[in-house]
Amino acid sequence: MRKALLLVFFLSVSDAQAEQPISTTAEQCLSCHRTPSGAIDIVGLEALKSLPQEWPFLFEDQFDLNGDGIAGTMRFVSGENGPRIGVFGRSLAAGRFEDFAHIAGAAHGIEIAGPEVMDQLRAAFEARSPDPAFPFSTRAEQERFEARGCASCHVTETFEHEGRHYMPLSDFLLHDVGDGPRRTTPLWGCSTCLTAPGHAAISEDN
Amino acid sequence: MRPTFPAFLIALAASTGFAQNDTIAAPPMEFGNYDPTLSAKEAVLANWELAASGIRAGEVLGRKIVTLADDGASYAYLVRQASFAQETMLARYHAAAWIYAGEPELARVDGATLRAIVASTSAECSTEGCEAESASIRSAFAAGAEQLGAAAVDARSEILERQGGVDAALMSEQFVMMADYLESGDWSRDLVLTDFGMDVDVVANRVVGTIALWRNVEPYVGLVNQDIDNAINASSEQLLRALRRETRGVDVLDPDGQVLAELKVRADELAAEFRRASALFAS
Repeated sequence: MRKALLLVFFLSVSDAQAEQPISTTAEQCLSCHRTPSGAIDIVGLEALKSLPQEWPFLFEDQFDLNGDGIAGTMRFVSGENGPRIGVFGRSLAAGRFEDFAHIAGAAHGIEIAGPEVMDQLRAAFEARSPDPAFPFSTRAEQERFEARGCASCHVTETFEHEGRHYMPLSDFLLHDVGDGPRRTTPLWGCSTCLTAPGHAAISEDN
Repeated sequence: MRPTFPAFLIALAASTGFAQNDTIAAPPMEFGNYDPTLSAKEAVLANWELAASGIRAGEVLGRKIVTLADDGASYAYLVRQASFAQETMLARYHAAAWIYAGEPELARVDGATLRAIVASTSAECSTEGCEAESASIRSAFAAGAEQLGAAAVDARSEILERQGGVDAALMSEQFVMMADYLESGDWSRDLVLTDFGMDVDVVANRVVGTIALWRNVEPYVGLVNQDIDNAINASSEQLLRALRRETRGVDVLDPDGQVLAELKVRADELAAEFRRASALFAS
C-alpha cells in the first residue's frame, strides 16, 4: 500500500524532478513530505543556506527583559565542528540539513548510510523545496501584520540570497506558548497563513 | 523525559565528585525524539559559542552599518538601521562579559568606542544633508566592529583551546567562571553609558547573559544532584525577579545604592549555588 502511494506521488512530480534519480533513502524521506503538486512541504531550503548566522541574535530576549510579554530563546545544537545555532525543525534540533536528516532518520528508523546518500537526499529535497515568494503584496498588508503584533515573533526583517530578498517571517527562536518550546514557524511559503479566515493577520476586514 | 541514568553512578558521582578525566554520560534519548541532547563538553562549548557568536553578530551588524553609510544611505534610514544594530551589538557584548572573569586578557571593546556608538545614533541632525552625523555613525560603527571582531576571535580561540578538554573539568570550570563573575560584582562596574541612561540595560544584559549559560549545562547537574538543580533554578528566578522589580523606571544606578545592593545579594546567592554545582564535577 505504501509503495503504491509512493508511486502515485512520484508520478505527480514535474518532469524535470522526475528525471533525477532518487535513492531509496531519499524516497523514504520524501514520502512524508510530498504535497500533491509534487513539491515538498519544506519551503526555502535553498534560501535557508544564506540565513545570516546573526539572525536569532537580533531578536532573542530569553527572559523577556523588554517586558513585551514574549520570551524567545535560540538553541545551540550538536554540529560537525562543535555546537551550532539550531535552525531546522520545530524544536530547532539542528543547524544543518545533514544533521536534521540524521535526527529525523533516526526517529523514523531510516539509516542514511554515507555521504553519497546524504548528498542525494539533500539534492532531492532542495530540488523539490519551493522557493518562497515575498509574503506581502503591499506595504499596507505588512503594516497591518506588524500592527497586530504578529511581527513580534514572525519578524519582518529580510535577508539576501543570490540577489533576492527573503522574508522568512520567523525569528528562529523557541517560544513556549503553553505546550513546550517551539520554533516560530517560518510563514514564508504559507500565503493562506496570512489571509485565511481565523488567521487573517492582514485582511482589511479583520 | 525522565533520565534512566544508573542510580549507582549518580550516587557515586554525588558523593565523590567526578574525576577530572571523566566523560559524563548524556541523558538518554527516547526513540522518535527530535530533540538531540548536547554532550557535556558540547554544552560547555555551546556557552562559549554563544558568547563568541554573539560578539561576532555585533561585528557583522556594525560592518553592515559601515557599508550602508559608504553606499550613501539616507540619514533617516542609516540612523534607524544603526539604532537597531546598536541594540544587538551592545546587548550581545555585555551578555558575554562573563568570559572575562576567567580570561581577563581577552580583547574587549573600550568604553570610549561604546560611548561613541550610542552618541552617534542619539545625535540630532544639524548639518547639510546630515553628512557630519552620517560620518559620525560610520566612524563609530567601524571602530566598534573592529573591536568586536577582535573580541570574537579571542572568544573563539577559547573554544578551540577547550575542545581537547575533558567533560568534568570543563563543566567544573564553567560553573567556577559563572560564580566568580557574579560574586566579583564586575557586572555592576565600568558603566560607561550612564550619560545615555543605559546603566540598567548594561547590568541586565551582563547578569542575564550569565544566567543564560545555565540552560545548556542544567541537564548534567540535574542528573547528578536534583537539589542543586532546583536551588539554581530558584536562585536564578530570584535574581531575575529582583532585576525586574528593582530596576523598573531606573536609568542611572548609584554604585552605593539600594538597587545594586539588592541585586548583589541575589547574585551572591546564585554564585554560591554555582559553586556547589562546580564541586559536583571537580576531582
